[in-house]
Amino acid sequence: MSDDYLWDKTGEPDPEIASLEQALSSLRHEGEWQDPAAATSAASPPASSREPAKVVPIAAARRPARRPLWLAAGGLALAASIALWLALAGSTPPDPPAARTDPTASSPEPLPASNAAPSTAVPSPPAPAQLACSADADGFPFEAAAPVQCAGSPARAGKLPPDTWLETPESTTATLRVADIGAITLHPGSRLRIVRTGPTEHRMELVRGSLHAKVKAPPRLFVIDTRAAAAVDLGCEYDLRIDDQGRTDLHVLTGAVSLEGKGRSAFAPQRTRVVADPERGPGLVLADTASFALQSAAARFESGALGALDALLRAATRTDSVTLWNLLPTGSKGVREKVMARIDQLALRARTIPRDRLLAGDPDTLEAFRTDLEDLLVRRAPQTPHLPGRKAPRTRLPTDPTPKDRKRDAAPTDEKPTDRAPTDSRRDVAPTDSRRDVAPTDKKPTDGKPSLRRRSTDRDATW
Amino acid sequence: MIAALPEGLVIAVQVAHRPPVVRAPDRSKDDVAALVTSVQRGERAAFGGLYSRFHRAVHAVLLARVRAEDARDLVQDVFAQALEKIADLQDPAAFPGWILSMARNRAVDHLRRARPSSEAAEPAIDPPPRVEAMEALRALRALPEAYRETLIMRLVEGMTGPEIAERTGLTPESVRVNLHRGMKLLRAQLDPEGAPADEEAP
Repeated sequence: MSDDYLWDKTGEPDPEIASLEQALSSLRHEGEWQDPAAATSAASPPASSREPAKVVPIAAARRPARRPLWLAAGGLALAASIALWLALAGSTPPDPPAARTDPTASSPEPLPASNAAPSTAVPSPPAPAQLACSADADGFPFEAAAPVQCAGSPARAGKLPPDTWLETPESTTATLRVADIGAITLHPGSRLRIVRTGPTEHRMELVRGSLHAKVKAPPRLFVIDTRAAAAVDLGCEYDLRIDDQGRTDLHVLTGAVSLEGKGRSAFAPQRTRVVADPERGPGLVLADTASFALQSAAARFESGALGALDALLRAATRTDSVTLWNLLPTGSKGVREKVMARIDQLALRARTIPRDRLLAGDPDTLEAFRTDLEDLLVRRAPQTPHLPGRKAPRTRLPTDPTPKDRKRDAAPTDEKPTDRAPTDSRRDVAPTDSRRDVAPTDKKPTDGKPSLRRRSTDRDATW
Repeated sequence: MIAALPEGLVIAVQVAHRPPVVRAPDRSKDDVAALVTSVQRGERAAFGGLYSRFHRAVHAVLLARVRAEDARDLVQDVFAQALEKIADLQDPAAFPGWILSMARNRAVDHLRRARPSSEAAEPAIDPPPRVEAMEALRALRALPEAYRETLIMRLVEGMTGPEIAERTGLTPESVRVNLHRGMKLLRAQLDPEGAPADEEAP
């Protein structure tokens, strides 16, 4: 291994180091010097901070308060208020409206063809530029505690029409309602627009920053494009972040998301994470509980080190079945056979799921296997991250189904919560049964209708 | 090669080995010294320049010892203390070692005052770090001090080797050795089974 990348970040990036850097960057220190003297005089207008620094004898320097950042925060709040006042005062007469499409966008490169939306989408009619983000515009309502940029103009609330950028400054979060299906929290330093909205699809594009999406809608109705992939909602809650290298980091909290791009797709159920690279598309899906050994082996494998497959499989446990499932239909026959061997070693495959069909990548069999894994593991997965040297606690998270939820979901279909040990006998699964859409019907329907029922959409693809 | 030694011996070497600490002819020494001199003359704004150059190194030193949340708070404390005492600094060029030493002492003070049980749980910080970040941080903290600090500067703070040398006063050669050896130990910590790392795809 060349040490150049470790030394000065030149040369071919070492996948393991890059993976460590990415993981650890969340702990990186950001901040500016908050002069205690300036913090204590925060009541002065912000303009004073732009005046030349006064020469103050160091002997006069005082020891700051224990938490001077709190004072600084107060100062920032005051500064923000004054900035807002200045912005409002300066808006009479109003500034020339910005163009609906921001030509200076930091922006988005053309989306890959695989991300193209269906032609059935119905774009909203264009609005006059000066009303681009007013409450009367056609679009998704948004609001923020401090002014954000909508179509290039400051606004605290309004409506975001299609093809108009909404940008949050570094200190402000904005909330956006997505039709009647959910909401997006746009984090500071982010840039988002609606690509199109209609009865068959609500498609948005995030080119910078991060967001939290909570959507309750039929699968594939809500999509967020990034440069690296499209996050196709399957009814869920998730965080989406674009890092400084253009990678898309998806963390699914509940439900499931399909991350698609560059001819690849990754199925990410709740409590998993997947990163999409702008060049390679989505990578391997990893459970939140995945060990670092697995993560680092996955990073090496994704970068082309086939030798890392053995380490990856060795590090994978039953709770990493989502990784194995996503890995199964990819790669050469030799890779698939190794993955299958590990799946069987972990007793994850029911005898009724034909091995040869899985190896052949048969979609129905893969789907049946996924559903079976979901039933097998969704209620058995550790609820909190398993840290080295500690036993994973069995506490319940707010996102987990309650006994009441389970009863409600099971009622029409006679499905029972599965809590099987690896050696338990498995439910018979017809090899070609597309169980995604057809619930078990061994309970006689009471209303005379066939018991064709999908699980509630927000839990459809939970794992 | 440390990695080639038996496991027990590796631990002993980790504990006993202290990488060489050699003062370096720092390329940014003059700039830093000039900033220090300016601050000593009373130009408080110049202290912002020192902060922007050293806050990550200070944070790395703190993060190597105290909880992530505490490290964030203590950075400001360390710089406030430095501002208070900078008039006493005789050699402005010694600022890098001086402030990092101050950070180490501040971390020790903090740990001494903290209740022992508080070290067990890492409290929530905002935004919450990823699980693997905390796992990697634990592995980093298990390394010998010099490797630990240097690697945190590189992997957490995103500093390059030359930057680390400038900010710590170590020679580039020492930093390179620390990074190389520390990374080997870190790999061993994270993947004890020693996955073949260099098998590239055909």
